[in-house]
Amino acid sequence: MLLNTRRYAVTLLAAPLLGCPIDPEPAPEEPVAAENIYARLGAPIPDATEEQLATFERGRQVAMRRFLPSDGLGPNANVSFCGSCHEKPVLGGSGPRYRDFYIVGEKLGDGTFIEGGVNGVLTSYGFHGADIRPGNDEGNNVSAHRNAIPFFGVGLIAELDEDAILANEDPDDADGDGISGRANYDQGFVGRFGRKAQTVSIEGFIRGPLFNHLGITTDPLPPEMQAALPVPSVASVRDEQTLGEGMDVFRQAAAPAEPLSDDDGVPDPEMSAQELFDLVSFSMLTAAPEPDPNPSAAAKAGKVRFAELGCESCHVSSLQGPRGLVPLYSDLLLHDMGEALADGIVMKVATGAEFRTQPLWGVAATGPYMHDGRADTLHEAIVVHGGEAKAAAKAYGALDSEAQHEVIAFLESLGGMDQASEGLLPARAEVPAAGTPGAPWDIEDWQEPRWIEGRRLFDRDMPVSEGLGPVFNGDSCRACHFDPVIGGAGPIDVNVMRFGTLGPDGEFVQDPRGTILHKLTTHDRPRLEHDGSHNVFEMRQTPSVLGLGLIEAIPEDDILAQADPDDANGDGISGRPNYVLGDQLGRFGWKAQVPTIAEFVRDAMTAELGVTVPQSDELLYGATEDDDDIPDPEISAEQAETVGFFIAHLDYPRPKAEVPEGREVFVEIGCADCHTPEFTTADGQAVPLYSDLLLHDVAPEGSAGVPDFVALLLEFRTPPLWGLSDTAPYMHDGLAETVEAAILAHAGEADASRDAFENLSSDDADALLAFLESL
Amino acid sequence: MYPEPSGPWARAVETDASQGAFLSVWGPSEGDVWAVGGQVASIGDAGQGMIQRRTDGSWATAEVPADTPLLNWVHGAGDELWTVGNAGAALRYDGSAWQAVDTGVDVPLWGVFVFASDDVWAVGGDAFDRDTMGIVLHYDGSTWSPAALPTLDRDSAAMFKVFGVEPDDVHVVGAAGVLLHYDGSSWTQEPSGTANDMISLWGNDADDIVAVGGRAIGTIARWDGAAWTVEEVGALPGLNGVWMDPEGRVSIVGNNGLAAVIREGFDADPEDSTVSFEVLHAVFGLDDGTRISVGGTLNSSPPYRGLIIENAP
Repeated sequence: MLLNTRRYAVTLLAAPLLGCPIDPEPAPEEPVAAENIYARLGAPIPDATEEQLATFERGRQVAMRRFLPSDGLGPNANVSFCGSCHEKPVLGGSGPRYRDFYIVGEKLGDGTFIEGGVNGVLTSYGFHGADIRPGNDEGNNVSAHRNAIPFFGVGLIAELDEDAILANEDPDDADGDGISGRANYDQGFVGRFGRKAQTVSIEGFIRGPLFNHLGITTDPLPPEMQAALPVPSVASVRDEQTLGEGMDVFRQAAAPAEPLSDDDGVPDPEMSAQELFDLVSFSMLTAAPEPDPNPSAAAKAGKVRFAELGCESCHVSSLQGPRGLVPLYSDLLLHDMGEALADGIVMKVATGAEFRTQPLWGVAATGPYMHDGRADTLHEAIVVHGGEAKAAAKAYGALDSEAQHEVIAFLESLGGMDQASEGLLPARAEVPAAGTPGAPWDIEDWQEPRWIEGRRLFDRDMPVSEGLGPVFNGDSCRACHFDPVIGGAGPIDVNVMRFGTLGPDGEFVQDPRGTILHKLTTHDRPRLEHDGSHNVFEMRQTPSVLGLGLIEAIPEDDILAQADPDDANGDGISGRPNYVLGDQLGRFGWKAQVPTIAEFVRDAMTAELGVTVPQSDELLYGATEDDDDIPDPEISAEQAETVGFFIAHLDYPRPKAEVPEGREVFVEIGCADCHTPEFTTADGQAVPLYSDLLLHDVAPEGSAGVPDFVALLLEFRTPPLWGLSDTAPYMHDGLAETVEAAILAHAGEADASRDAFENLSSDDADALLAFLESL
Repeated sequence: MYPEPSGPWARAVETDASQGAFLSVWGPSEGDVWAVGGQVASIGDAGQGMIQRRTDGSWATAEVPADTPLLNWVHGAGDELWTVGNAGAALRYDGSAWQAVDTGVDVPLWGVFVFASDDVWAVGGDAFDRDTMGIVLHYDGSTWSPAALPTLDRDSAAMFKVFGVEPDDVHVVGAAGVLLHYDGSSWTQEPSGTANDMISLWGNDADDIVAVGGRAIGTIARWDGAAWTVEEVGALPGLNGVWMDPEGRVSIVGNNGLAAVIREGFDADPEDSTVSFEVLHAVFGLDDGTRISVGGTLNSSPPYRGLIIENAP
């Protein structure tokens, strides 16, 4: 057996001590629970210093910082900020399924596993000239799902001495209990983070995903910063004292050791050392989920059953840390989980069937479960355990429902239950006050419960067991519509990918699968890929749904009155209505391809969530059947109507200020020719949306898009400008990072207005931008 | 009987940013040892080469031609001494000075192995560009020319080291676990079962070659004359350097200052290298039992600092 380097170091130094008088061995101390480690999910540890609290807050801001291509996002990316994948139920947590991702690779004939993608990660978006939808290399014959894991309490895990983890090792199952945990390693240190314990340090666990999922490059923290982290990440004081200078022991220093670089043209590193320090500190300071201080009788009984079933063989109740026992319910070791769960992904010494025992603290609030998020519930998660855990899962399955409930109650008592949410809205979330973003609009008091229920359904993560998928972009309506509030727009990393083929004759040929190249699938299916025949890829940003009820109330004739399809007035502007589903006027979507809110709900349910809708005589959008195993329809008519009610009664974005001089410029240079400042509903309500809701050719020459009904390749609906300042980035593809960049990206019919903008005095340009930001 | 590896390692040379780090050490005799390396402004930069020479037990900086890039490896046979480096650099020592020899390539050369003045191998490739493939070059006494390599079962952007026992029995290790063998007429790829980069290799006999690598996971491979057996040893960090003494004991060095001895199989006994944070990149043993290892702050952004440590029996 190979010696561990650090243990060898201890042996070397211990030798001279053998000649010293030996004191009688003291009686072993009773292990005590670590103190001051708990707080509500997402909060810092209670004994953080003022300085650490300041660092924690700065790190929180870094975690929420939205990176843009100009900041270094890409060239390949899945998401644009750290918090995107660690948001459930609060920042620092796990990720709903819409943030799942794929790990891919190739298994060769000699057994070698070659990582594909970006260090194994298959990405969804390309910037800086990379493929807009990066493909999965043909040679990759292994593809696995991953669901993001929570960060709660990771600083306490980082503090653990390696021996505390290795104490539970039994790689050859010497005790014959069928459980054979073994450690994973990185740079010679015991791995403890990641689904396969493939990472040893929090710094590494942050730098790796920053690069793999965001394309953000970093340098390793310099030693003086590593030493200043909340969990000192160089030699431990104890080891230095014991072993002496020159025999110090790394604990966290095995972060990816080299600076990272990419070729996106943005100078490396793309994140400063201070930001990285704050981000790592934030993670280290995030408290452990606090177990229920008054567990129910069922939970107490469940705890006994949990041990009796053998669950504690891997989910050991606690590991000894420097503060005392740390009750994470994991041995942090690798276990063979059987063929059904095996994903074929090799990480360090972990085989394709081995996974780290997932800590269970806070588990009630961080579903879905398992490495690929296949389990909607804790019950499902237990049942699908295989391999070394099969016996325990089988024993659980043999319990009666009450006993199973006790086990679940115990797991729910391990912290976070009071913060658990079906989506991301906190339980009993308040209704925003009138006039604030996301507030109800035009409802009576008696209608508020229905609005709240609609909001709940809008926010709720659709379980696979209820029909999510088989292909999807989001697992809830909120998954894409959350900026700045639920119902709002979405950042660049929830863009929908449209695709197809533009033939030599200029004709667009739709793929048999449709024009959406979905980002995700349920865990049992590989991602949808394009092939060499596809040459059109068009990202579409998530438009806000705030104020849609008002837009729906605009009389059709008033919209059509703005139309001038043949530019009869010779002003160079030729707005065209989109007629969809027969003769309905399209109002919503980047191509005005959706006529009503009811159709929007049905369309999005199917197109974005993979959820089937009921047959309807009046409503035509949405699929009424799909090929998953869930009975169709997967959402009821009443549920769809309730979601529609919520959307129809979301307040419109209110102007933040009056900027008359900017509005004047807006009109003068022709912006208002398409961005019609205001319509009026039939009952006289003003609708200051700044859009004519018509189609215009505004794309640059040479670009190619996806047609939709009568909307041509390069035509887009004039997007409403209300709420503009809260919906960056801009344009249909989200590649305009500022309002100014968006104006400059206009072409075609908007050439004259763009030219006029470019020739404005700086005062006028500033006024115009201030006006737009005020909307 | 070659002395048993023992005793403490001690720091012999420490260089600052003006000179950079050391990457390789080799010498024809205990009174004449060369260490090469250098400095780069940024990763991927050609950099500036550095050579130090140990005579009579003490080290001194040797002169290198102007514009010599960072040097990655040094090896020789008899009076024939070569060093290779970034930007396709190859330098031959003429007995009094180093002379640049055109290799016809501009990618980094990571390894060189000398059989004779008309039989020298060098390997390299742009390890930072996954879209390229590693190369093997041969020098016939007058020119360098690329060797024909087999179609590989994987992408491998660089070949890192070359070693041979006989001119018709040569091995190359490279990126993504690539292992190549030359039988005197052609190169073939040998199964490895690992995607870990293999960094260097050494051996005494045709049926006992040891290769190491791994980057994040210590990886050791042994060639028994017919096939490689590869083990990933999690408790070891990435390994960079290997040298086998005449008794078959294998000294290995790697990241986090690791120095260890393998006496049999794959079991490594770590030593106190006195080095904690720096990377040890190469190791070599002298006839008197002294072992020398070189490296530096190669796990940090440039500019690098370097070190040479020695272990006397």
